[in-house]
Amino acid sequence: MQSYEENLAKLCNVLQEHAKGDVVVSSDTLLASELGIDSARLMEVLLEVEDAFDVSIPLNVLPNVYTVSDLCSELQKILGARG
Amino acid sequence: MSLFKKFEALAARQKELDVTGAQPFNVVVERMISATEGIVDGRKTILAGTNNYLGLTFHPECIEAARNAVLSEGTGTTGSRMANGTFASHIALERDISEFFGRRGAIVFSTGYLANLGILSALTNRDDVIVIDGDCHASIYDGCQMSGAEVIRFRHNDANDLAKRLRRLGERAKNALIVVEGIYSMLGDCAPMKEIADVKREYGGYLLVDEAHSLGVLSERGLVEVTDEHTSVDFITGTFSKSLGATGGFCVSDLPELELVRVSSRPYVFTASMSPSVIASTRVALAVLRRSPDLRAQLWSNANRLYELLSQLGLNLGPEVSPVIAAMLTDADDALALWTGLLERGVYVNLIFPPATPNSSYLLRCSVSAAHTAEQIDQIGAAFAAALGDCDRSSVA
Repeated sequence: MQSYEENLAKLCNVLQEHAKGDVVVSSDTLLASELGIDSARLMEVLLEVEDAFDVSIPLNVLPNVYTVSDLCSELQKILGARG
Repeated sequence: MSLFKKFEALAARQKELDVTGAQPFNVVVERMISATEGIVDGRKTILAGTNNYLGLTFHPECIEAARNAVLSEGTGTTGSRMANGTFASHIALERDISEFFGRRGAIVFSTGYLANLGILSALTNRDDVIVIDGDCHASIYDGCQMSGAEVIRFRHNDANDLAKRLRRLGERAKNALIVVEGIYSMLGDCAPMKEIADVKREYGGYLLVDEAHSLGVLSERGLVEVTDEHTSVDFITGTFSKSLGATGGFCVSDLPELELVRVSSRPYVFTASMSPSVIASTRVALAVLRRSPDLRAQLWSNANRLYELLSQLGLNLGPEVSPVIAAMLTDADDALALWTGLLERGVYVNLIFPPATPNSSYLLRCSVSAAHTAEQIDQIGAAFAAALGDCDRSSVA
């Protein structure tokens, strides 16, 4: 299993492809307000993230996901559970 | 923080609308004239956004049945199905629906929204997984949330993406509940039923199809019937508020466990049951639907005509002809201007903004009725053509 740092770097790369303007995606980037995309588009981008990691992110976890770091932590849990 | 701080963005948007004078989300039909016409802003208006697919709201037999039920059973049940709110007519409607779909059991709910909320929240809990099409209706999302189950979305109408999600679930896929819709309410496209069913056959799980917009529209019974996928579909939900012209919802299934939902479904238990008059008109409307294939033929004739007219105007429409015909715009102001222009010309359609729409688009959503005359359909097309003249067409096509 990849380390948290490795997954964070991969996640930032995926999100960076979809970020608007001159946003530089980092662990502290707020998903809902700093990527420059609306909420519907963000949901589409999450599908891309899921494919990049070959996981499904349950909708249930999203209310507690604010930052890229939060999302990476959830990915880490899902990947860890898969083994 | 103020309790109402969360509404600030909405309030700002409402203020912008107030400046324009348009009230797309507070339209009042001051008086109904027929199934397809009403008075809006003091003006005779063609109603082209009512989901009244078969135009049965003014059917004389439905009205007569409702009138008789009010006289004999009163205006309401004043209670839950679990308490005093089950009349003989509720049982009769459940028997009608069960027989109509050829399914072992049926449960009737007070609205279509509550049917999805009631079934999903009772069937699943935190130990289960629900896999839903991303474009599913809010009632499905809310039912999922209420259940506490793990909820996974798959890309709209993408059976391969569904397969991918089920593969990722491993053994858990065998007990997952897959949810799709017969016709999707925003763009009017159908689920790829055969492909979805094939995926279910490969990975297992249960399949629920919401036929809210397809009942009586695609065929008598909807998409499951059209695609002959009866055996692969475990649950069908739907509403009486569209093709049957009333309110209420239902779920049918061959699984005997459906009966247990009655005692464990909070949206079934903790709300007043359907009023006797609504039950009565729904039962008659169902009979009318069954004996009147001509209504469906007229509906599709109207849908084909309006889709053609709007296509000719260069509007970016949903992917397939259906009684739900949505024009997708990329700009909110243009969408509002077009909607206002239509209303000023005596045509009402639905205006729908993101995030309730696919692809963050701004939708002018028409729903065609069998009761629309050919002249009305042409008037709707002509109103679009005229109103488009007032808009920046770059955001339209």
